Amino acid sequence: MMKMNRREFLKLATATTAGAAMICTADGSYIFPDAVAKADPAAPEVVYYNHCQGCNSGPKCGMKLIVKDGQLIRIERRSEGGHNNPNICAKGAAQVQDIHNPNRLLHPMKRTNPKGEPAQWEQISWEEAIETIAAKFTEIKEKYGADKVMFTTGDPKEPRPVLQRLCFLFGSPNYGTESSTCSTGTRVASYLNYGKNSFATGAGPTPGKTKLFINWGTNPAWSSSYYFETIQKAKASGCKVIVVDPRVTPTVSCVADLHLQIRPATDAALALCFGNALIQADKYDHDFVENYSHGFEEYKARCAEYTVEKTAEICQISVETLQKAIDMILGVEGPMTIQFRAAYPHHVNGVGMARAIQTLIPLSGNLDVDGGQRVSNAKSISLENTKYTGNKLATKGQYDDPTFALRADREYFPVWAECIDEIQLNMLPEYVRDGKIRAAFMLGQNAMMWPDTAAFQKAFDEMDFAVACDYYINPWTHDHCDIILPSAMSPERNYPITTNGMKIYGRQAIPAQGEAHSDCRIVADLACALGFSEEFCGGGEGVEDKIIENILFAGNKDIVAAGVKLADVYAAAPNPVVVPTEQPAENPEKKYRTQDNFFPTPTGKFEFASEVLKKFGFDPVVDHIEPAYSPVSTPDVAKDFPLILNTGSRVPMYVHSRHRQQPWLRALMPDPIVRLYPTDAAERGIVEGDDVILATPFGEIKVKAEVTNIVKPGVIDIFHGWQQANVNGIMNRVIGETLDPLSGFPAFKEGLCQVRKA
Amino acid sequence: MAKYGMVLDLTRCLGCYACVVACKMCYGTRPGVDYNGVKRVEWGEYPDAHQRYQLTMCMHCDNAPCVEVCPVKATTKTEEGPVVMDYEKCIGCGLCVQACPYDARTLVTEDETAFDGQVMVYEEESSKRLNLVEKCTMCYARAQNGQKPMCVDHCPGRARIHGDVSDPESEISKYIAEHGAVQVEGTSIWIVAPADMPKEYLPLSLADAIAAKAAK
Ligand code: SF4
Ligand code: SF4
Ligand code: SF4
Repeated sequence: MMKMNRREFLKLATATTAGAAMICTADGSYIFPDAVAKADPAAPEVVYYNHCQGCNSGPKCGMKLIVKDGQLIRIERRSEGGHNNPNICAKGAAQVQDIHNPNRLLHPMKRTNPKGEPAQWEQISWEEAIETIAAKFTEIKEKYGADKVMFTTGDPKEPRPVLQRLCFLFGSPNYGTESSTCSTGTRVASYLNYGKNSFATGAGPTPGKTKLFINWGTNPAWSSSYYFETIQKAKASGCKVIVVDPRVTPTVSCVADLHLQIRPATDAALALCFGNALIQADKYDHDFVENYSHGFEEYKARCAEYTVEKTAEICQISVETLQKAIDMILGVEGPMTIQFRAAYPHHVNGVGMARAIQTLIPLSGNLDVDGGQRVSNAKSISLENTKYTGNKLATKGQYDDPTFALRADREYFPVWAECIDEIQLNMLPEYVRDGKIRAAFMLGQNAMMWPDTAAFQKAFDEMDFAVACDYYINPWTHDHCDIILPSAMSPERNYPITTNGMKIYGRQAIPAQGEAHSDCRIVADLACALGFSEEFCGGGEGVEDKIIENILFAGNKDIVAAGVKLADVYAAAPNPVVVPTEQPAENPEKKYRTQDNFFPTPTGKFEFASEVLKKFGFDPVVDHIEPAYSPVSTPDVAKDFPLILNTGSRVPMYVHSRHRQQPWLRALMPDPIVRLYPTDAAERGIVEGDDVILATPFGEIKVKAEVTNIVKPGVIDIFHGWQQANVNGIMNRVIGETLDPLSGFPAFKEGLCQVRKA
Repeated sequence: MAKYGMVLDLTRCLGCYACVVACKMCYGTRPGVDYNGVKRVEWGEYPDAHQRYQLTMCMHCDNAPCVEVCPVKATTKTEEGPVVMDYEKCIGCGLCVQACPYDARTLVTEDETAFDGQVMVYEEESSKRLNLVEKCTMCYARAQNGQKPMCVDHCPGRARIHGDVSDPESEISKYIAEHGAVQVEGTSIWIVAPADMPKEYLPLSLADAIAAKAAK
């Protein structure tokens, strides 16, 4: 292959015709000339209406795409008809540089050298790619069984339903997502407490109603700025706010009336202490406890162990500050609610911590009340989350299904497998070693997301066949894959449609760059090649619309009754189509009193003591468990590694490993940084901007130091997802030590480390 | 005649950089040429540590030192308040950069674009600007078009409020009254500061800023 530097290449590229193949540069990176096409300056500006998916929680903030000659030139606030916050964050605005990015993967590729070596890629046609993959998967299915092929998504949430549909149709129970490392551990907690997943992360405040809001271990200022205004409004309407966080985040600065700067991994103790306060002061919901719960006495006894003094010591919060928080909770006149998110599964006692926090909502009488965690019975259309037919495994009672028995994760994480309809991927290297998984089809999956990353890369090398779909060539993962396919980015795809309540918004897609296809179409085309043409509407161009209309719309009674067609939705842009329906009358509060089987747990009640955990041999009642490695439990390890390693939280400019390729964002945080408290830095002779080594007992990475008082003394903070400094790569993976035995989640927020000058 | 001003409510700023990226996206500015900025400031010690953000941009001074020194009248004060640039006239002498007490101007000396050697569609205009001075215009052209400045439109914290300060009924006038925003004397910018934020982190009045610059 011809090699040249980028400047030489680009001179050449502008001289040659568009649609040229990718070029390999001297440094081994690839450039795709079709990503840098020119727009005719005389062409008119055309407006497309879409929703942003930048932070990837499904279509969120409304956006207006200004397009000239097929090129996205600007993104504007969408005041017209959009849902959610129209104020687009940095990641949303910078999508302009994502769509038109010379390094973007724009053509299907197959490797020409063995896996495990830095990949050499050769461009192939879509036909060849799909046929090759289908032939390989069919061969593996025939030889070893369909369950040996796993289908997973990393970052993208939008194509999950179609991928799951393909996986189950193909006959494999081994469907997985990055959520088995992200926040789904909170759903395990909800399942154990409530018998269903829907109470996983608590609830945010309702402006005008909520009187006390505990924002527990999340920083929505950076992770979900579209939602931050709700907290600001609640506060303006008289709601008090407690923030529990080891860091002084902008959420603390902007909305906290009280900040509990807790030691990481001690939140279960804090929650039990709050529980104890509510019980001792007789401020708990007697009706709930006596009539709708199970195991209260055991819980009460556990809570009693967590006195204010003891808890203050465990959590490293002063007795006075902790007492202030208790006084606020006991003194609140009106509803209280709590929200927490992905931070909690990231502990060895992660499910326990999430359960302990969740429990405070019903205990304090705030389950299903206005301003608390309300259970709405309003009808809404949830298309993006619709799970398709053919998915009998995704319902309860799956445990005895013979196909389910082939789930690769079952023997390692029985509790997770009982609760969650996707496999836990954190033991993938073992599944491959044991011959349970031989091939993978992955959408936007990055090996860097797992602890002990090298074991995952090796697992991909050892697989018979691995395929990845992505926006960019990502060596951490793709050096270990056989075929890579170019995915269309969010503004380039109209699947799934955006919904809010009974409103449906058409997503108008701008033309995809190069040969990129939407994930939905890639999955559909592969499905068709595997023989599921009928179930995937024949695949091909425009299949997204067919799937929306023929599967999603056709499966919704209200849409069918109203005769709403997709064409109506597109014609209504920028406004949504409101599907007429008869909304049921608002529930009375505390619906669990009147609804049968509101808590579908083994006892039919909210379980302070979990029967599921008892069945699998775990302590049924939550407790504070000191991390396997901590200054308290392993003082000897802490001699060499005295700092607590906190990673995995969000920053405003990146989402996990995404967005490093966009120069506007990259300029805001060019290098991986570790945040150190000033005295911790001074003790080590480190000043702001120094090159430093971050070391754990399992490895080292080189990063830059940021000296800041936003972190707690003795605790460092580092953002993940850096190709050149993968913090997850220096963690190990032992169940019960660094993986939560209940959920399988990695303990990203409680390891030990040391920082020294490089 | 409208008189434009902007409130920067530092009690609402999330440090999210949406304003910085929105501005770069709107004007396709070159690497390192930023019309506005977000800077973390900290004070206090654990367990009473504080952290907030300073917001920097052109202050659109009333008697703008930059306008006074420009030999070719490339930078002018509009009647509505914004200080704007005429890139056709700018000779890149950089006198205004020296004169500006708020470091709000950039002399573009490097022919750089976001992707080495490549002019992307959004850079068609900005890539023509070399050896001249760029700055925030308070999105004057957008305002004339009835649009808010890009950084205001995009701010998720709703920390930036723009509008006609001469109209007591405007959103910005009401905001100033309700939130006790303080005008940075001699400029078009109002600040709402967190109660405990040390004064040294707040923008100086124009006269003090000029004196501070001279003392350097
Ligand atoms: S966009 Fe708004 S909240 Fe975000 S950094 Fe700028 S001023 Fe602050
Ligand atoms: S801040 Fe600087 S550039 Fe802006 S008007 Fe004042 S002197 Fe001119
Ligand atoms: S007012 Fe306009 S030019 Fe000035 S910083 Fe904001 S977006 Fe940029």
